[in-house]
Amino acid sequence: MTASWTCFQPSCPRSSDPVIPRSLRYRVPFEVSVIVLVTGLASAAAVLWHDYQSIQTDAAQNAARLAGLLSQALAPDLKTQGTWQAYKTLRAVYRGAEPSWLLPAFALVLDTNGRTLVASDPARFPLARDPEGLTVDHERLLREIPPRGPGRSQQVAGHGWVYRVEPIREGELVLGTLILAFSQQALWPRFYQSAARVVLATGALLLLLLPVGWWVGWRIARPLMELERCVARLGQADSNPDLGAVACPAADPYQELGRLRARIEAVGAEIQQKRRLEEQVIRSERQAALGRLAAGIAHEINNPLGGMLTAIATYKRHGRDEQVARQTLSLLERGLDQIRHTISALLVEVRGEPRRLGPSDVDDIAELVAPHIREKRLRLDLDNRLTAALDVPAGPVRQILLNLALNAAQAAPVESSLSVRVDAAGDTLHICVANAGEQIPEHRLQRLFEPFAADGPRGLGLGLWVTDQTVRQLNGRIQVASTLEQTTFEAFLPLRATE
Amino acid sequence: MTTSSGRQLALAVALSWLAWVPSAATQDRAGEPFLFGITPVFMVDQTAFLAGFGPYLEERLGRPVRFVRRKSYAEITDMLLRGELDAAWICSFSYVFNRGSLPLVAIPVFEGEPYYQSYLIVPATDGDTRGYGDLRDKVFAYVEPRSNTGYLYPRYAIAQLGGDANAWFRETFFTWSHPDSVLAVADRVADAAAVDGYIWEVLRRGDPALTERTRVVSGSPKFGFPPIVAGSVLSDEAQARLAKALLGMHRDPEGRRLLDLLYLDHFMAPRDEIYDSIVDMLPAVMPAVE
Repeated sequence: MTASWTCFQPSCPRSSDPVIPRSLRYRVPFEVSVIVLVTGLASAAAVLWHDYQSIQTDAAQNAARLAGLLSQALAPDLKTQGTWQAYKTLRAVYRGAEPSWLLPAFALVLDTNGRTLVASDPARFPLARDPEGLTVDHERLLREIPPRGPGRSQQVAGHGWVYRVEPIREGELVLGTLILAFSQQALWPRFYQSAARVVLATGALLLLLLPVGWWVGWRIARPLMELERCVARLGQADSNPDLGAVACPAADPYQELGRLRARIEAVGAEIQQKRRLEEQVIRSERQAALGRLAAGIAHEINNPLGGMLTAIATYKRHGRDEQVARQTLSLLERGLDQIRHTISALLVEVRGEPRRLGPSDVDDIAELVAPHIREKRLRLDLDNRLTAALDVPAGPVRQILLNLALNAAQAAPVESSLSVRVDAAGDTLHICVANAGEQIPEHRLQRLFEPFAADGPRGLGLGLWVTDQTVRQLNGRIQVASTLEQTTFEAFLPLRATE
Repeated sequence: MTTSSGRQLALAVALSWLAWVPSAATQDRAGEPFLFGITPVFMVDQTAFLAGFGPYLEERLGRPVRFVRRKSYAEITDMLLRGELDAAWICSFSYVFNRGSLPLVAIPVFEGEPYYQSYLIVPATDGDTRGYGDLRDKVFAYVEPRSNTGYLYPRYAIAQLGGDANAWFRETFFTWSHPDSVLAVADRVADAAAVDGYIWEVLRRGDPALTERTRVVSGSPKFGFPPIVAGSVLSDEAQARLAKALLGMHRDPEGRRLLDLLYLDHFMAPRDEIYDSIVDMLPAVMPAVE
């Protein structure tokens, strides 16, 4: 009975499903948290990048300012060839100062020939010599120095160093060139300092925002979870006798979800109504089929009864004749025997006790359809290949067999043939029912197993639909093929199937 | 001034000051400040000394004392000659150059002698240099052009080696102060320098961290210690008063304290002959001296 709810089984796992990312309960909060995290990290990265740029800019500005100041301070010293004064001026920059990104690693004053006039580190750059060990291309540096170069303030960078090159002038006269060397590495400690602050702030913010994000995600997911539970209740309500009690309580915070919930309730109610209707139809169809069966059987019983009554009347009239009596008793015996067969087949059909399908169940079919066979003078070819009981319920299979046989008998023209074959091969019970007759048009074949598909003179056209439903309940399948000569129905039922 | 042969000893002090006043000037300028010229050339720590020396002199001269500072010996000497200063403490070379014009007033005695010498110093990291002969193509720091120990003697020494002082070094520069010359060598701006031995010794006691970064290669012969001289217009009376104040300093508690600041024993009466050895060097270097 739960099969009709198949399409309404939630496609997502239940809340108890251990696979976290696939449950909305965790997935929504998780994704909101991820968004918070990514946003936080992206912001931090942006701030860090900005800091890095700022530090570079600050360093360049500091270098330019220091170079400008120093070159002015050095001009009088160079003008009077005051090497010592120039050295003291350079030294003043470093006096008492801790090494930092603000301080040049070294300062160098070159004359117009590119030789060292004075240096902050005289041991490294001896006076009146070409400065050696500069990390930038020496030739490139010298090109910037008058009289070879333009003698303007500029920056030459390379190999992790930035050299600030500043001409020292007295009016238009260039006296020398000041070079301040800044190590890019000296910037890192400052950047790390700044980065540590950013990381700390971001971390604190994330610590605050992540739980909030999780909570927000949980709030979003909660109504969906309730909806899912509601749908699950709808599913359970199917087996609940009180079919009307399917409602989703709890007010919804979102209009869309509210409408969705109302719609689900409506659909659930419709489906249940449809299901009830279907069950009623199936019941009626069964009763109708039994009715037709009973009518045929009544006729079948009536025939021998008529013969027997005539025989008894003859016996009464002619009595005492041994041969007549024997003939009468024989006729009565045969008539009663036929009636007994008919009744016993009918009893099995009506009793409906759960049991396994046996060869006699197939044989009973001949008895059950006999009235219709005789009525149309058909030839029944029953090929029962079963030899033992099978692991498949007898009731539904008998119904399938009877429905197909009756259907075929009905469709077959007068004096034509009808064949039924039942065979168990491997795990499958194979039922094949064929009759001669008109070909069924293609467009009808397609809709043959739908309810009310047939528009024959008898019944509502539900027979094949009920048969199909029964086959499906047994996890089997049914197919039909129709040619100019005959129409063949085949059902394949898995053995060991449980209802 | 008479000349007498001097013994060679070492050391003089920092800076020059000085003076005295001719009688006419004394009369004319009575009540006006006594102008004492000094230079930073060989003063190690002038502040503490001058703070006490001013009042000490004022008390004995009966006049306010004002110290006049100039960058070079030449400036101070010119002011003395023009009568713009009453007295000054000048370099022996500056004195010798103007021997006839600037009367000696007193000569400091350092470690028992009125002498000092020139030290050739190199960075402590330089263990090879043995003398001026090893300094070809090096960077040399002179003190100033009128300094005996810091300019005259090194040029004389090179001349004695048969060299031309103007071509001996790759590069030279003036520091205008003996302590700065020591610093220039300690910082290795210069490969070598010639400094006042007295100044170096004073520095060694007051700032050993600096002198330890230098090594004394050799000392020169001894020269007369930089004297205190009178200006050309200082009166005899004022001159005598100044001489008395200086010569008796070591017997006065405050004077003793001031002398101790400069590590000096006492002042002694002028003995012009101790400067003769400087005069003897002049012919060899005169072309280089203006």
